[in-house]
Amino acid sequence: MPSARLPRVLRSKVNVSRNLIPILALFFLYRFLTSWGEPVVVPIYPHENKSFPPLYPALLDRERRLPQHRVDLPFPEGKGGACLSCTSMLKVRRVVCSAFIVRYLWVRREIFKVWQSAVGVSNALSSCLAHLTKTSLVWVSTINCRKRTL
Amino acid sequence: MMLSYIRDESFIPFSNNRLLNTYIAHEANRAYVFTPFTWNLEKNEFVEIEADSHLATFNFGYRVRPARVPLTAYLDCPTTGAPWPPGDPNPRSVSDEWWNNVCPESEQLHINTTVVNEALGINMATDEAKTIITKWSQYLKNLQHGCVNLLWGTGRIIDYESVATSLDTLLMRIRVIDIVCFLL
Repeated sequence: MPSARLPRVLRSKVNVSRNLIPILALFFLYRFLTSWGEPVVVPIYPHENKSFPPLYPALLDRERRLPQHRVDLPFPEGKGGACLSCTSMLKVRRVVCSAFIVRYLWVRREIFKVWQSAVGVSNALSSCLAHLTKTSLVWVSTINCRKRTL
Repeated sequence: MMLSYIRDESFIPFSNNRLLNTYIAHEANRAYVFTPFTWNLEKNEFVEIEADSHLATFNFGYRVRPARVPLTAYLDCPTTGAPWPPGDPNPRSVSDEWWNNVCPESEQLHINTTVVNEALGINMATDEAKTIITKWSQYLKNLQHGCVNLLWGTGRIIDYESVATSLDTLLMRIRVIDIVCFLL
């Protein structure tokens, strides 16, 4: 009758519960070695003022260190290379089926009238109504309104 | 087509035509010059948050916001200087700082886009994006000048609205919830 255990040669000699710390250390060493060169997070410079939002000087430095920013590259790049700077900013506006938009806006206004009154009654009731009619419910926060009155 | 809501960015210069401009520069064998994401063109690093802004209520406790954010915070692609696919001889994009170093104001060739549109016979309201892109890229390719600048204050040569049909443009301007309410 064959035994349930594996043969001695195939049995693992590493006791995981006993050698947990060296196994974890090996795992983190492996992660450290394989993650070499991957920028995981953008470093925050120590001279940055923490009371202001970030300006990402590290990203600007990385932009400066791009390989195409060299003077001695062959023609299409380098000092005499051909560049195109697009600082023209006025928007191109197109008129798209305005009658359709007007009708759509009118219908939306009518629908939102109903839903606003429904939200005014009670949140639970309106969510029930939304579920039954298979539509999404819009929750309007009142933070902005309170701010304006104050 | 992906359904998503695009905020009105009329006060943000250089917002939504960067990829198309990069494509035109690529077709013209020129390096695209990318600029930081700009809310304010003043010298200050930070600007005050407006009272009616969506940042007025909660902005991680900050009372100001940066006037400019480097474009690599948002994009990592040929537009922000990543290499083209192997075998592509076109020059890679360069940054605004490099452009200012290599091409000072005296060496720049300023182009008024409205004048050139008239010369090339482009009608922005009716022409397809394909004709606009081919005509502009040919024109920029034949220019014997290294530093070409499309002039500030003139019209854009391409926009995302030019590469969409009227229905696509409509779908880009509305949200999923709006469509649901419309179908109700």
